[in-house]
Amino acid sequence: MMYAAARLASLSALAATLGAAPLAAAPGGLGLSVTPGKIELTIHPGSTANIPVLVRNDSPLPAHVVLSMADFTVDDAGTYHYEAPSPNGTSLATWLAVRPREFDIAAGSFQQIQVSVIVPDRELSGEYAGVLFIQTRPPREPGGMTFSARFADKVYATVGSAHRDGRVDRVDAERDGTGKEHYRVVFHNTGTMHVYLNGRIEIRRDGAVVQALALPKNVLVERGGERTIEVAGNRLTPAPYDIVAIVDYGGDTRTGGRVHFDAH
Amino acid sequence: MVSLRSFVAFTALVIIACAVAVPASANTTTVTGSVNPIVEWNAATTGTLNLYPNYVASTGVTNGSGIGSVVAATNAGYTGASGCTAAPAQTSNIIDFMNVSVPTGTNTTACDYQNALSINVSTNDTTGWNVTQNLQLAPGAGFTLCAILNGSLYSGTPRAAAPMGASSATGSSASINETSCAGSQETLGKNNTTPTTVTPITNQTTAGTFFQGEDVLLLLTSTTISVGSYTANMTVTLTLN
Repeated sequence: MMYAAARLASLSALAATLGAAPLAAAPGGLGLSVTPGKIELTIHPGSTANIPVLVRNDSPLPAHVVLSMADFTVDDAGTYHYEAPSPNGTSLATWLAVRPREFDIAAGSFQQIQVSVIVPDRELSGEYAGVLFIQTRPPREPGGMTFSARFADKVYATVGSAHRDGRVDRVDAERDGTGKEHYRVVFHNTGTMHVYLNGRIEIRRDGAVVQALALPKNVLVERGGERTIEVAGNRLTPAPYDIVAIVDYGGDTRTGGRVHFDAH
Repeated sequence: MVSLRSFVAFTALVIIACAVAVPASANTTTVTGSVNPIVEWNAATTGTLNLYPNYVASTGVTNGSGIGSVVAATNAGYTGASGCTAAPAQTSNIIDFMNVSVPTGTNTTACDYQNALSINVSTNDTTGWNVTQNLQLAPGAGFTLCAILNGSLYSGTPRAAAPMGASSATGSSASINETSCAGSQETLGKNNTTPTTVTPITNQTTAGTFFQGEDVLLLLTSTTISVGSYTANMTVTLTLN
């Protein structure tokens, strides 16, 4: 009897131990690592550049990877929108060729792909852009929701020369319902390549800066694009102010804009 | 990326210099001094995107052997808890809502798959990055899928313990009793070229390692949905700025 009780106790302890032990995790997840994750090059019309790109399967399961090309735009929130490749405008998606187009990668392994930028032999100038999608193919199983990891490898090719330029088209100020002041700066990229914006907004009263607000860092504006940047500031005491936006777009000079604002 | 050509050239130069430096005779004049070799390289931009379906909040990675958790709406006016069933064990990176009841009358069946997906981004690109998500095909009539973010974006390297936000949905939560994606929920109903934004992980402007978790909410809003097995594919896209 005592033996039986002791045995039961030890079985219970064993069961408790098993119950408390963490379950062994089966492999799961999807992962893609891409180098270079962004391609920038200078090239002449009628020539071809070949760029090796390393794709690593950063997951514990094998993956099948498919490549495709697309055009892209960036909206005011910084969100990318992708479209089917077009031979027009500043797109280079139709100039891209990749080899191989699809492949299997073992878990933790990698595959080198060759990206070729084949520039037409015609009059071209400035920067052209597109994306190369590197995407895992979802599992083909019925039912449920499957996932696909997609890396958009941007390609910027400068044909001939390109320059940075831009201007502030508008500066606005208004107070929201919570009493905070909101400032908007509209920047227009008038150069022939993409730029990253940095800068600040100065709130001046009688010529003296009473408040300085940093713009978000590295705001991307594509060639020919426009971007509205919003910044919130503390409520101003009633008085007339000058709102001055100073924008550094990476060019030789900075640009800016000013608006008069009466705080009530 | 280390410039291999420069390295080879530099090595060859050193070898030649060593060969020249070997004294040919005792009359060789020794000159002492120092030089500062210049070593240059360019670091390529790298980006990594990891997706962990059915993640565990304490680790942020896939709960490979665990059970997915589906929570149903229970408030009056909806099909209720019986409309959703517990998810099965995780297999092959799929989140499976299992059997979901088609609503009756004016009801809606709302099933929230808790901790459905963890998104992990890592990059050395100092201009930042952007993540969007979308369905490969729009869901059929009567179905809506929503992403519900769990907590805020975590950033840091190396990963701290339990960085992931966990689902806060419960069976009695009013937040999942609805007929369409509400408030901060993101509707996953777009096509492959019109992404759904995920606010905290859209347009980050720094390099680093980042984690964001989310639930996926399935809404059945039609009483005429045919019996069958339905599949959706969510594509998550990482773009470096």
